[in-house]
Amino acid sequence: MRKTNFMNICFTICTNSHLGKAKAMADSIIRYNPHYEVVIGLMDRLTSQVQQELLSPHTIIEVEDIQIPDFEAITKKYTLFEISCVGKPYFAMYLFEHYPELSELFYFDSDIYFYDTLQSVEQLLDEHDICISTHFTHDLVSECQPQMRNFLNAGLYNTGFLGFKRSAETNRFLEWWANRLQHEGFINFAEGMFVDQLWVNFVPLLFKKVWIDADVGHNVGYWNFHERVVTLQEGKYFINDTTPLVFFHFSGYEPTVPQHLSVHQDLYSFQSRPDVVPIFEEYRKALIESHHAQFQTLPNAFYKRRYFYQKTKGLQKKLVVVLRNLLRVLES
Amino acid sequence: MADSLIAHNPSYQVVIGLVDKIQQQSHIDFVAPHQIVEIKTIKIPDFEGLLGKFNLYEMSCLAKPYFANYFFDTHQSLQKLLYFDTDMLIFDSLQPIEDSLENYDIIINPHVTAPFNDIHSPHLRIFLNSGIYNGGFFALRRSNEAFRFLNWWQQYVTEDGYVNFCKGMFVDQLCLNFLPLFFKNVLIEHNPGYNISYWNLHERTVVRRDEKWWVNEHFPLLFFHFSGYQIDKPNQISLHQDRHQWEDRTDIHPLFELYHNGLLKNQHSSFMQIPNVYFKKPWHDKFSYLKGWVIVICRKILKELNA
Repeated sequence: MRKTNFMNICFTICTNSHLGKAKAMADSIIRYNPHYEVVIGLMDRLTSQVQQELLSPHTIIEVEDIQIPDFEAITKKYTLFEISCVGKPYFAMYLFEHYPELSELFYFDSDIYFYDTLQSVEQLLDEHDICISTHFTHDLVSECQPQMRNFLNAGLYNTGFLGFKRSAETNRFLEWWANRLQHEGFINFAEGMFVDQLWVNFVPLLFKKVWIDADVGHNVGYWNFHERVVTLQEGKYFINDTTPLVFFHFSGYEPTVPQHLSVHQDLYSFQSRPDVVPIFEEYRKALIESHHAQFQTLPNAFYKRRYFYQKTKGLQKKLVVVLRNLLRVLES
Repeated sequence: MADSLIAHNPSYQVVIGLVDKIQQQSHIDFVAPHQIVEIKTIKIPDFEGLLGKFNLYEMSCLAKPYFANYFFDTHQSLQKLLYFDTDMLIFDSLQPIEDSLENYDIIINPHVTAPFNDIHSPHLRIFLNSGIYNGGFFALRRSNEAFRFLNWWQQYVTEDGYVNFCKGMFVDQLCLNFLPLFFKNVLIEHNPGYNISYWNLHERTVVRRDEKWWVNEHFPLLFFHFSGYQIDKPNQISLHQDRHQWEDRTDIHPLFELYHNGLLKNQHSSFMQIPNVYFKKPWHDKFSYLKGWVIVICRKILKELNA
């Protein structure tokens, strides 16, 4: 293991409703990496409804403690998902500032689960300052969802996994990213926005010492199932026979809808992908153990539903279609 | 563009892929010694179907991989193929590109390598909509990987070659985002002497020295992309931007003057009047003022709806 005499930290970000997932994720990290501390950045408040003892031994830091500039304005203009995506650069900068001995920092989404040590992840920062994770490295032609063009909207790189080495370049990136998310962290494909993730398309162009991680054992998710197959060999999971599975990203999986491996896609099912059945079954059990169902019902302290927007959403969608068709005719 | 290319690279042949039909023999003579290949010559499968699906701009963009494949097919000795948009001027030998093609199969340029720090247009987000690499230039070496890319690109633009940001489509260019992920031996050429245009003027300055143009002091200017330049507005850098004022960028004035004179010499204004044989002017073209307002209002409403 590397750097056992220095501090090692991974962090995740979630709202109260996802604390169960975060706990499962954090437990799986320290199972294989006991020298790591997992910090949960909470885009929420630790109210009396949150049973903090269930989250031990992991550290929780509330977003109001890290003092994001204009946070109140952010909670008013963004949806809940958009708000939860703002935190990454701010929590990263906070952790580097408040843990002076920290030389490397890894971020993982709360719906990720670990199966091995982080050694192959740590190595990514040996020669680089910033590590980002590509969604896939092979094209997929399919009529199902998502299509390849959806990743041109949502971003080439998945910000569910990021690596940062303490450096001037990392700082330059985090500050630039944080500034973007102040006003341009919406979901609005027509305006070139998809929360924090689409901005990362620029990272290899605007910043130096960037590594694009394409290790098939990292960040396995429904978006790269077409190029990755899971096998179990002597009690260990491998991807494409030879690469150890380090972490799997259960994006869009809800144990209350157990027949769907992700609500964001309709290409794969458990019938068509029996190789992933054992992994999902283990994850489902892990979420029971971490009391996910209990946390899931907790409301967010900051986000207030916008009544008018909710009621007229259907009408707005129809109007958008009409206007876009009109524009296409007029601009032909 | 072609004249400037062979002025510095006399061993090259420039072929103009025409998304149109040649109207008169005199046009062929005028363009000589450069060659014209009409789009009907390259026999695009279901060409009529594509004309029904795409508009003129989209059609002009999706033609690129088809023409590239055609040139490799019909010129067996062709090892290296370069593509340049028509609104460019070449200022130097293309030897550096040829040298790069000794080690790489595919070369493209990013739009920018440094962020903007202001609120002018274009906004940085436009490249998240329209693509981080510019489709106005690419270079290919005859190789399995280049053919794999061209066939993939050709198929892709035939399905998705529309302008539709909210569905993740921008002609041939946005899908180039996938290029370094899906294909090997790809060079993302960051050299600031390549493909200078209004979108990267914030990170590049031009100077004349020793009878040559240089970018950021040290890099020879290879080609400048006059995207959005209008001959009747010679002191406007581009209609697509308001970041750089003409009076603040005296370094590029000589380049624009050269381009302006080149367009005059080559009768650009009269060629602009020739209607396209495949796409007729729409009926609403007569009401361009009113149409402009309707477009602005539609876009404002869509912006309010965050769509």
